[in-house]
Amino acid sequence: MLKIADHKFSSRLLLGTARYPSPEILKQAILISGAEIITVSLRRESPEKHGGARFWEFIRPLQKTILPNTAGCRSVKEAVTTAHLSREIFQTNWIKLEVIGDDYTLQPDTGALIEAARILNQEGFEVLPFTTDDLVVADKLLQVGCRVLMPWGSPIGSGQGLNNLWALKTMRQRFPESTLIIDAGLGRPSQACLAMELGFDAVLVNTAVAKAAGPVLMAEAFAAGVKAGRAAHEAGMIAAQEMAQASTPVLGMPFWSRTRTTT
Amino acid sequence: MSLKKIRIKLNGKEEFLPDGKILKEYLEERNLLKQYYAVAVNETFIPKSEYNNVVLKDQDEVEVLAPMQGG
Repeated sequence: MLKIADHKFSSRLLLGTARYPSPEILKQAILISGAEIITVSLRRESPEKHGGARFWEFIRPLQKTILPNTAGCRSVKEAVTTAHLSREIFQTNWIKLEVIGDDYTLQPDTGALIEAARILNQEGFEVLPFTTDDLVVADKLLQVGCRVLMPWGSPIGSGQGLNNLWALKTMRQRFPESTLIIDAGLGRPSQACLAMELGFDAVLVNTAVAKAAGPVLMAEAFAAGVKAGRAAHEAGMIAAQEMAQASTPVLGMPFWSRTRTTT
Repeated sequence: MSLKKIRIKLNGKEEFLPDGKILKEYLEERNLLKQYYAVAVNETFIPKSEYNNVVLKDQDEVEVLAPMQGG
């Protein structure tokens, strides 16, 4: 079971709700994926259109665990205020904390991220920080009270997959007791499978599903990839070898003699 | 309430209001007092319980936010 804070979940696939072609396709993707946690955001509401209220009325009946984000925030103050706003609207103390430092890579501003995490943890939030694959930053986030880390695989929406395998493997080995969720940059179910094979606890996917030619089928594919990777991790995979190791026993091989050699 | 006007911004758009306008009254007039909205004034979150205690001032920036799709 996936453990986040004091809660357990059967699904290790988290789903974002942005960029889908339609609300109905979003709903079908969520349902077929089996995801139990979905991410949402806050944006300015138009007094004339009330689009936000309509989105919430559509999402609520799905009865998923809501993980609000602070996407787009560029300062500690913006992120902390957005977290406060989210807590009032969504009635949850969970927050996917994002503090962005670069407009093109959407890379986290890790200094601001650590400070915002410290403040929000002290205020009783359950902070799930979107971070890089930097080990030192990860350690500092844990020190300020985070129980979950969400390191990126690669830039948000890029579909590049897991760019820095060494760094991610090192993070997993260094923090064996922490819940680590790969967030951002996954483009294919095979990449999600790899993340799970490496021992990560879950993955969060948005663009790879929403912008696929067939989002509902892709959601199903990601769910399968996550399950396969986790099962493989728990089953214990063989280590790669330099040379071949015959899988068929040599004993009793026909036409074999002691004088026979291979070149 | 005086006849003096103040200039505020609502979600980035400029508006002119009578001086001394209470936040709750302002939101009600604009049909923005809904369960699934949240409000910040000058980048500070204002809990719903405090709407009646906030008097809008000149140059205040009011943000009314609602749930949206997010990744």
